[in-house]
Amino acid sequence: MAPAKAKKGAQAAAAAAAAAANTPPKTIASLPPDLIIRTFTFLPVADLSAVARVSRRFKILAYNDDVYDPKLLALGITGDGSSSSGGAPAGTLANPDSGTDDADGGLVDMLSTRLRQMPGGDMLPASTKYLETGTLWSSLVDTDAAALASSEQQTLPAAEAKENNVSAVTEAAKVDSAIVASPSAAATAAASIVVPEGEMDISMDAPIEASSDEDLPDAASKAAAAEASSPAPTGGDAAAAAASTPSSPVSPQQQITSTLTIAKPALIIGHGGLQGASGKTTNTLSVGGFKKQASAASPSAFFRGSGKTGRELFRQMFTQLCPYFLDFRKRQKDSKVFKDFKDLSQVAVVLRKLKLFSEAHFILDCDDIHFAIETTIEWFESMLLGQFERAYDSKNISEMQRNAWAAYNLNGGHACVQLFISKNPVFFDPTFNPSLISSKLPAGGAAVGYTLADDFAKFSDYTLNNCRAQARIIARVFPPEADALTSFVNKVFEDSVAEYLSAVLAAAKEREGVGIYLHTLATGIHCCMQFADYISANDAAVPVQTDKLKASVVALVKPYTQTYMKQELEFMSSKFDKELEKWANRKDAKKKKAGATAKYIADQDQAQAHKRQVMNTMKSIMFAPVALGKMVTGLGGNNKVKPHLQSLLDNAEPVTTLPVQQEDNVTYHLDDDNSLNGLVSLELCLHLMHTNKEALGRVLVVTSATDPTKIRTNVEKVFCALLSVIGPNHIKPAFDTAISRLSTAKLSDAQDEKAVSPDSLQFFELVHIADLIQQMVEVYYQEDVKSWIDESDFLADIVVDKKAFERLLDDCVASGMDKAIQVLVNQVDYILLVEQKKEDFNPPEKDVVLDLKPTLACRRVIDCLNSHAKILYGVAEKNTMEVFFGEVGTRIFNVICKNIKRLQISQTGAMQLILDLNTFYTWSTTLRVSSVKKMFEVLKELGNLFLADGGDELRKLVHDLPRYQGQLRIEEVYELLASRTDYKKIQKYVETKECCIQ
Amino acid sequence: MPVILQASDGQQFTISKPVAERSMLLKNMLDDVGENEQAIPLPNVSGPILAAVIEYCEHHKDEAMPAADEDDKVFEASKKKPDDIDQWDADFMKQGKGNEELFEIILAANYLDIKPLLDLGCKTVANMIKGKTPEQIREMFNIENDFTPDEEEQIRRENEWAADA
Repeated sequence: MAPAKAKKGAQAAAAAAAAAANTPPKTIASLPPDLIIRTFTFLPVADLSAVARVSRRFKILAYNDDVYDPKLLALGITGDGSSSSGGAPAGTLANPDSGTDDADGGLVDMLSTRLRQMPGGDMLPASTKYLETGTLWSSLVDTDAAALASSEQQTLPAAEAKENNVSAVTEAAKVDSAIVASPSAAATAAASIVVPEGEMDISMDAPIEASSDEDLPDAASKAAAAEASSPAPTGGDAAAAAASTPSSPVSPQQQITSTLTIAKPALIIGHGGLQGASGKTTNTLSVGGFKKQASAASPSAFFRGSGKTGRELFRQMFTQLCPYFLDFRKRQKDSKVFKDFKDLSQVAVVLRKLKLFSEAHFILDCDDIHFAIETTIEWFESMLLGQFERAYDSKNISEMQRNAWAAYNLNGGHACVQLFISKNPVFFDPTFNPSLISSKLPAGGAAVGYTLADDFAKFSDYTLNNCRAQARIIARVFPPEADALTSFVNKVFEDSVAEYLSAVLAAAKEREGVGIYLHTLATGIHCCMQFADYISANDAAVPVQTDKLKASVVALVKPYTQTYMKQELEFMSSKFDKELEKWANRKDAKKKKAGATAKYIADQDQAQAHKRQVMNTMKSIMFAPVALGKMVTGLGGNNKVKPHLQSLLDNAEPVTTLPVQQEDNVTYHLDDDNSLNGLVSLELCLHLMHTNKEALGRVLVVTSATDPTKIRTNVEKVFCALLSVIGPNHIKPAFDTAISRLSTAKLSDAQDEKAVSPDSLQFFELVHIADLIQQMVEVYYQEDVKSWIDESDFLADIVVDKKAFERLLDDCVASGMDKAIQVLVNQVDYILLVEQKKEDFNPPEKDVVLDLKPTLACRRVIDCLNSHAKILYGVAEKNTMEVFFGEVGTRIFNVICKNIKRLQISQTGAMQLILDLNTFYTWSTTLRVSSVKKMFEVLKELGNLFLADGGDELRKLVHDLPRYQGQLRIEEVYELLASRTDYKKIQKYVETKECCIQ
Repeated sequence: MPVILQASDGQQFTISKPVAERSMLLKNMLDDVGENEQAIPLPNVSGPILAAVIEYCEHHKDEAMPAADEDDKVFEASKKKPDDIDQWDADFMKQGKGNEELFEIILAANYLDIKPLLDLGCKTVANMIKGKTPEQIREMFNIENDFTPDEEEQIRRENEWAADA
């Protein structure tokens, strides 16, 4: 192995690595620099010193930040500065107890006023904490300032010293903003100013040991004031310059401005707090009478920005902590930590840092020390908890606060929060006792079941107020980052609320049945969700992780919500069945008592009015109370607590009780006491829709709380259930019955309106009602359902089912229509058969005097047709009628032709025939259907065939095909001619001529 | 489906896919290229070293894969301890391997992107350095001292804070 290899640079090493294996043997020098650095990260700190002295290359590598970044990370200082994970930020200490004393406070105020007057001063945070110099670590600022003044004595290279200055100042300032130390620490800071410059290294390494017996308590403040009073007109610019070019020459003025720069970083830190939750809170949150101070450290971002190297930062941490750490070799409870720091929170911070230090394995024999530190921390924590408990018992808020903050700084303070929770009276409150729920219920009455939901809402409200009171205490006792309120409310949910909810639900299910149970469940979930929202907006402004609370609500109702959809759908279909059955029974009863008192709607205006009335009634019932479902969307963060809880109840009850009151009206208006009632019921459909709407409201509440992604599918399921019950289960059977009655309809001998078959009348009213029902469903769909689903998804169940529903109605109407027409035509046929006498068109006497009236048969047919039309106009729509009459006209035409062929017509009788045919034509024009009118024009012409004498005239008539407009073929004309009494005589004229033509 | 690797000296190794996938390089390559009969040439790794690496991968093939793009900075504290080495791994690094093989394995692990093996190698080297004086380290790795005594003394003082722990 050639020694020269060691000299090779990074490129050479990389080249060697890339070369084939038969190149000279590998040494440590052949490793690329990143691998050597990786190796160094595994070394104990002590060995880094030795490694750095091996060679120039090793020194450079050993000084590389990549060696120290993992170590800093282990100490809880994040490398990327983006977040302070773990909840217990490193290097922070916001001490609630220590305020600045009066003299300091005055100086700080003066200083901050001056700073604000400078350019860019309005960007400074409202808090003045960042200016307070009386801190433990602030000595570094002063020592570094001193070092700068005496830079000729510095052993470090000049550039490095400058870098040190900037970074040290930033570090100190960072701690400044986070740590508010006791006056004794201010003395420490002052002391370090007077330390002789030559002892720079010592004062840097052991700032705390520059002990507190100095008698210059406010020297540091004076220094700060002096710095601030020196002219610095370019404050903002210089600050920026200092931040961006840390290696530029540093003048005393810039020294100050670099102190200023941290104003902004301090702000940034302030945003760091509790991840997520505190993002919403401002960093000048007022907590328990003092300003919430910048809490989380995300140092690297601005350490890097101000030129702080990872190594320097680490060195700082290491030299601060190492003496205390090593002290634990011999001591535990009597450690230096407890002598040098009097404040509990400070002790806690140092202990936590030492624990991290120990876990990072910087030192060879760290395992033993680690054990000692762990023991000490345990002892210290139990002491804190003991003190906290005593303070809690004696209601000493400030003492609770002192210990809670210390516990937070030690290890996040979870144990302390737990202690607070376990002792909290909220959990022992006997006001609402779950076991007494049943006994509180009123004995009977229609709405008894709903009082359960009511009761739960009252309980929620009561508990919410209790929690608010606790939130105010928490705001004073715990640091916001401890997230005490979230844990607390979580516990409230898990214990009190869960217990009460399950008791209420059990009572609902056992005593009141599934319907009440479902209602209570939806109300319960809604209350819990509101609870989470309202406690998050508590007046003490304690940050709460609302999402976490909601997640815990979801978890606690999970046993119920897992089967909820199934239960809801089953309940709904059973209720549907019950409604159908109830209606069927009522129908039977009515049938028995009621005679044939059928009363039909006589004309179209009346029909329209009826429709409008039905729709209005329907809308007023369906949409009068604010639906439960709509509230889900309207929940958003307003602060009306009571009204909301109240409104929940107000709304829930009307939804179910209102229809009961209105049902009588409904019955009166919707279901006229006529034969239609026997087949289909608007009232029933309204009931079904109402049941459906209630279920929809519950489904929306429950689903949006538990699994918002399922809202669409669940809404679809609910609405599809309605369609399937109204369509196939109600309307379809009605049409089936009506159609089967039509097909067996008896022909009537009656003369007047009653000649119209009641069955076809029934059918047309059915069409009318079905149309109304469809409109009702459509309104409900548009109002309540549409907004939750995706209409454009043509494969979705709801879209498919809705189409199927509409098609079902269309099909029913179409097949019924066919039957109804046949019934009418049969009736006409029957009249002609019975009433048309043989002598009508073939009078025995040749010279009988015609009375110029249509025959009786003709009049009867016209009467029949007219009465039909009149009544149908009332029940069916115009479009329906047009289609209907078009078909009727065609078939009647054929019936009349058939009638002519059946009879014998003499030339004398032809006059009578023409009279009849003209009457039919006149009737056809009343239909206002052009195709029918044309057809009957042809019919009118037919009369001439019988009037004409035999011979050429007749022949012309027969062969004048345009006259028949394609409605009749020549063969049919022959057939008709066969009815002439003199057919035998004229046959040869007509047919031979025809042969000639052919 | 076996995977064939070819070392720089032409030597071929046939290994199973799970073994090959300990190497992120090979795993990504296999994911991209799919299954292939052809040998994968590894020009940066010699036959004996590749054999050693394969031995390591065989032994560890059933362990959970380290997170795909493990952030270098997210080392757990325990990983930072150089003496925290599995017994098999320690024996594996010891048996008949001089410095030269050690560094070649580190380079191969780096090239093939096998994080655990790379860490093992670096830890082994760190253990060799641990507790030694600068002079001992130079001797061990054949490194020339290019400092003047003054410079070395200055660096010593710069690092006093760390050394006296």
